[in-house]
Amino acid sequence: MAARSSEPGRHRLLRLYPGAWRRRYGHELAILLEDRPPTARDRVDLVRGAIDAHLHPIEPLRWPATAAAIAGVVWTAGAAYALGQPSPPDWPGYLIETLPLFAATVPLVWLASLGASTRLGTADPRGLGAARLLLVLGSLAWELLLIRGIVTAWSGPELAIAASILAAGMIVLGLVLLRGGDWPVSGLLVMAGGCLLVPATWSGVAFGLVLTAIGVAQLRMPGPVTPPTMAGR
Amino acid sequence: MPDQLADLGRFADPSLHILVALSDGPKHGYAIMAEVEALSTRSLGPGTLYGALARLERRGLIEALEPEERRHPYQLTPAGRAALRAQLEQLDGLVRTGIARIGPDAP
Repeated sequence: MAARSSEPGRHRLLRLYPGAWRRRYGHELAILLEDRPPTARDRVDLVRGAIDAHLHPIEPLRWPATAAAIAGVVWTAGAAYALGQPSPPDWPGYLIETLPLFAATVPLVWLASLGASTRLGTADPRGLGAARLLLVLGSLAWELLLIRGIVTAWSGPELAIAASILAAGMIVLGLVLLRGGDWPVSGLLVMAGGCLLVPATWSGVAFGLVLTAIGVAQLRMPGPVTPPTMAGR
Repeated sequence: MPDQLADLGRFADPSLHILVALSDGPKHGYAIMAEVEALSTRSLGPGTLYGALARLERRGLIEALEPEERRHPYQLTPAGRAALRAQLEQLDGLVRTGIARIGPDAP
């Protein structure tokens, strides 16, 4: 016989959902779970549903804009500092001093890009999953390698590869949003990804500035944008 | 008319089942789950059900009615009925072609 959850357990599951989602559907779902106490399989389904509700919001989110703006400003400051240093850099030299700043900012860059991916609301167009996968893999790998660089004063081509994976995720996401008519955020994401692919100090500054612009654009035009299928109706 | 269920990802199949479940009148969440299980022998988890309902409502394919005994029934909108008809006709064509091609069962 399948295990059934207690009432506090059910409420804990509902709390995993975003606030806006709970305000709209939480009461109904709570009643449904009273009528049909969830099995272990249902609880897994509810957790999946909660993750999905965060990735596909039904109301505009503020945090993606904030994350992009903060990440952009911090990144620009770090890259501008590096711009004034000798080139090519004498490793580890000043670069080792900037690594902690970039390591602290990469999670924000990831949050900003993942946040931008929620702009399509409940739509799940082709390419969105691939973009999110690249964003997660790229930023995770980049972060781990930056930490390794700080701890062991190491640098290698893997850092550029990890950054390129993140860049690819931003470009794919930009193209997906472009198909949904989400201008200018889509174009800025493609530009940001392009800047990350250029191995030059000035491109780091440009990346920070574009990231800041993504934050500002999202503040002015919060998602979710109209899904493409709705646009034709 | 554009395919309204095309960009629903893993929710496309449950959404089609929900639209079919609502095709004979409004139902609330529990009744939709029971109907889907009866129609297809597949079980619909509560997270998937409400993920699909949210998407269908945002696309204007279903709408919530006034609550009855604390439960919100949902009903198809005219756009939802048209989208369901288009999907079923597409599936019907596929099924007819498939059946015609594989021919009768061997004795």
